[in-house]
Amino acid sequence: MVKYIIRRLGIALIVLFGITVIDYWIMSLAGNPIEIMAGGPRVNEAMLAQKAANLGLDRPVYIQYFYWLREVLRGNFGTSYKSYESVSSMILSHLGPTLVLMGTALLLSTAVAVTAGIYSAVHEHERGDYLVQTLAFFGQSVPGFFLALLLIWLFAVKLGALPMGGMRELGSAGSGVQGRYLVMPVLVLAFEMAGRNIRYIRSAMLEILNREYLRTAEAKGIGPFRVIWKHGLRNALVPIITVLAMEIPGLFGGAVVVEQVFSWPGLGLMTMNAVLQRDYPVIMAVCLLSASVVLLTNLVTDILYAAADPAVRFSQNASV
Amino acid sequence: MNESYLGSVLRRFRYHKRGLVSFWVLAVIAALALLAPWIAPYDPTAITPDFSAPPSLRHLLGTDEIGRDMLSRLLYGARMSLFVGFMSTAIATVIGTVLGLLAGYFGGALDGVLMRFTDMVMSFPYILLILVAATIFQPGMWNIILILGLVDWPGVARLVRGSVMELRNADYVHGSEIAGMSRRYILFSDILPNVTAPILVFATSVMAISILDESALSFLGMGIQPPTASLGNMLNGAQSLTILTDKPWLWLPPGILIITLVVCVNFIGDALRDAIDPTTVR
Amino acid sequence: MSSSEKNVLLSVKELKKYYPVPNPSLRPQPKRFVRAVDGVSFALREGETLGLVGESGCGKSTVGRLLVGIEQPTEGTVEYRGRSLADRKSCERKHIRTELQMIFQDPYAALNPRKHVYDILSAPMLYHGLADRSNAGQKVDELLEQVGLPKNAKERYPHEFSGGQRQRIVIAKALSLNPKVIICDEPVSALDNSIQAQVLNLLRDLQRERGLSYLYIAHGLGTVHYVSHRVAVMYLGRIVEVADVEEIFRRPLHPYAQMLISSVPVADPTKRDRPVVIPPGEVPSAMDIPSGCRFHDRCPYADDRCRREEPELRAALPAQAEADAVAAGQRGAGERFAAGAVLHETACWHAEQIEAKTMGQTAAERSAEW
Repeated sequence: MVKYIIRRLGIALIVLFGITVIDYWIMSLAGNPIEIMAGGPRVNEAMLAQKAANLGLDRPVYIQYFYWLREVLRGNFGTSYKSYESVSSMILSHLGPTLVLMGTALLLSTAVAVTAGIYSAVHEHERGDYLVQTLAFFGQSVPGFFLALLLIWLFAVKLGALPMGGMRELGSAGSGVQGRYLVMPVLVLAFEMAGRNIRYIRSAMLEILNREYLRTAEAKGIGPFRVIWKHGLRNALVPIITVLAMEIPGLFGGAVVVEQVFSWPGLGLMTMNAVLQRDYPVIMAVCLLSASVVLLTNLVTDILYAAADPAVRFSQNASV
Repeated sequence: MNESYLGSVLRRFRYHKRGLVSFWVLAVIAALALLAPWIAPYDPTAITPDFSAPPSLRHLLGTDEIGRDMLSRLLYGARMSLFVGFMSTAIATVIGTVLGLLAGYFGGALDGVLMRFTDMVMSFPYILLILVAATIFQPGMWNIILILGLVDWPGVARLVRGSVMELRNADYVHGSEIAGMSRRYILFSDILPNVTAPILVFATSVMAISILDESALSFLGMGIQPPTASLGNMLNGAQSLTILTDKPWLWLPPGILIITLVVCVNFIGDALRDAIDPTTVR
Repeated sequence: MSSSEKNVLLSVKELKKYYPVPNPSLRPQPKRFVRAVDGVSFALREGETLGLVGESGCGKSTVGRLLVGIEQPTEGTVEYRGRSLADRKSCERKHIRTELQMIFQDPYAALNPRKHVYDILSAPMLYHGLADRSNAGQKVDELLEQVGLPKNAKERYPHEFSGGQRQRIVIAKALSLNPKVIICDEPVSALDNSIQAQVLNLLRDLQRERGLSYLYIAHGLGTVHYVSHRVAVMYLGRIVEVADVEEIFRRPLHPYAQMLISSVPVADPTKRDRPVVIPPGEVPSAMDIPSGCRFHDRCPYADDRCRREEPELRAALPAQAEADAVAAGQRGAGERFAAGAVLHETACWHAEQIEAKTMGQTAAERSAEW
């Protein structure tokens, strides 16, 4: 088991290293950052050369890469080309709002998906099941930004019940997130996520429900809900962990679109601005950060599985 | 009795009502989109004297803020969405199938390297990769297709690899090995035809995701660039409050069309899955 | 055996196949192996059928897979016509390899479901140049006729046939490359009883017409009796007894072989006095093979030597009655035995003593021994 964890950890580190290489390589394709920083032809050649030397940009790309990697390992992601702020502090200041948004959406969508998935499985082939499945299908098929527009149109414009964007009232005291501002972005994200997950949980649950011991329990006269509560739910934990793990990589993508539409001052909006301004140190740092989060999630779920089921451990050992 | 495999799949597909309806809806939209140059009432980029005109007999779906005919733009937008979705899916499927076949059949070190590479691509946050790529390579149709295709293949690769690893222990594959057949024959004649069905089903979901991604990208302004029409960039203007409140004809039709396309593709995939594997019929 | 050495087609020496066992515990352990095949030697002669029998898990199917090259042996050699199948350059091996073909247990898994029977049968011939586009159809017709299927079968898919018909297609596919040796891995165990006889007859007819050699792998002795010339009994990765088919049914020596023979159903009700002997205990795991004779912990006759030293296959002595007959100048089985015409080898230290001891016993007494 320890050997297995070490092995997975080693693989994750190799993958992460690969990602830094790809990351840096793509960025180096983007062109000379000095030109981007200068932003115009007014600066003279000597100044540019001086600046380039300061940043180590006169060296070959692979040398630059190792300089960059060394700094990254020290926790220094460089400074933004545009705001001249330290990238680490930029990320830290935008991380909070995104975590609040993502965390709420993840909780809500999981709660909805688990409830609806189990309901759908218990009432297989009934009217309710079809309704849930159809809704799930739409959740998968409606673009998040379009749903966001619909919600804004309905709740903010027609009903005036919710604010259109931002995360708190302008000029209000304090610095936290205000609940009313959270409603629509969370709804959009949760609808999309729940749509993807309901069908998965439903089929996982169906499989569990059809197992012999549950049939036995049912035959003994224990009501269906007690059966699910006592036996089914515990077994359903594995698919729920899977669902949560599957969502993590997608979260960031959702954040970019939703934060853009709702002007939510989080990492997604920051990234989108960085992309529009070609602020490469920021983009690279965000790439690296989210890749690390994804790898970490994969690692943790792999280990959880292996702890739960030796068969997984063997087969994965064989495949890696 | 003398029914081919494909025949039986098609027969079962026809029993799947939602799938069949979706197929015809998609076929009609695709036909209209294909025929856009001949049936569109206006040039999609031509500016007419009517600015922001609501739907009328002259412009069935109205015009946008600079006077372009919305119906024509919608037809061309659907054409763009379907084309981008189809092409990027094709690229992703080919890459994923080839890598999955190689990794699954040869195994060993090659498998290790290919799967680690797959992990890397999968760990890159999807939209971020697309956004970054879109900034570096100028946004445009072929670049969007390439980017989506290069990002969407890992799922296919994993699916194919899994199926191949299972099939390479099938007795008929062993039979071909014992008969001294070449690896190429075994890979392409014995194994590949038996993984096409799951690949096809998976490809429909890739296509649905590609269509959604293209529209999101164009909506953010990083995809298909105006004046070329795409369903996503037609919605871009709806971020302005006046359009959202006063001119629903500018943003409702493209949104609804995207949903229709994606729903149809998903339903077709669902029906195909059931038709290919009759044991999972719900 | 020396007299028939020249006819030996396939010679297997000390074949071993070990599979490493993954270590499931937290602490490191010495590497362990499943010893699926643990030193198997035998020879297959031209035109002969050698039955290879044993319980599931004894390694008999693995032997078959090692012979045709689906799996690579851990140790040992397989020689075909005196040439090692492992040592040759790949091109030459390829050509030789096709003279060894295999018939699989499950006729449903052995045919590619996406191909017409025509493609299944013609592809290997076309690939190896045994047919070209112009005469492939005719060759396929011939094959189908030989295995007793109608010509129009070639336009159909495997799923349109019954199990027995499919097995005929599998046989036709194996025949298509004009093999000399066919490994039959439980070829009829997945079929209905009524169909089994038809397929076995087909195999026998083909053997007569084409001079084929079969390695006939089977779970029980029932069908083996019908098709084999010689029988090898496997237990936990080793052959424990080899003998001509009549000899082994008449006079099983190894206690395990006795047990297997006793479990064969008897068609003649008047001969049903034989007790069915089932040894106590379960087959040990191939991961954990007992020391000494690997059958000792289930054997009622085991002594210290059996627990310590592993017996090798050796020529069995003729039965006492036969030896007496030879001594008395009568012509009989014992003489043939002495001349090497009857083959009987066993891997038991005490085979003859057990035989002598149990000779006078009634069947009931013998079964009480167990």
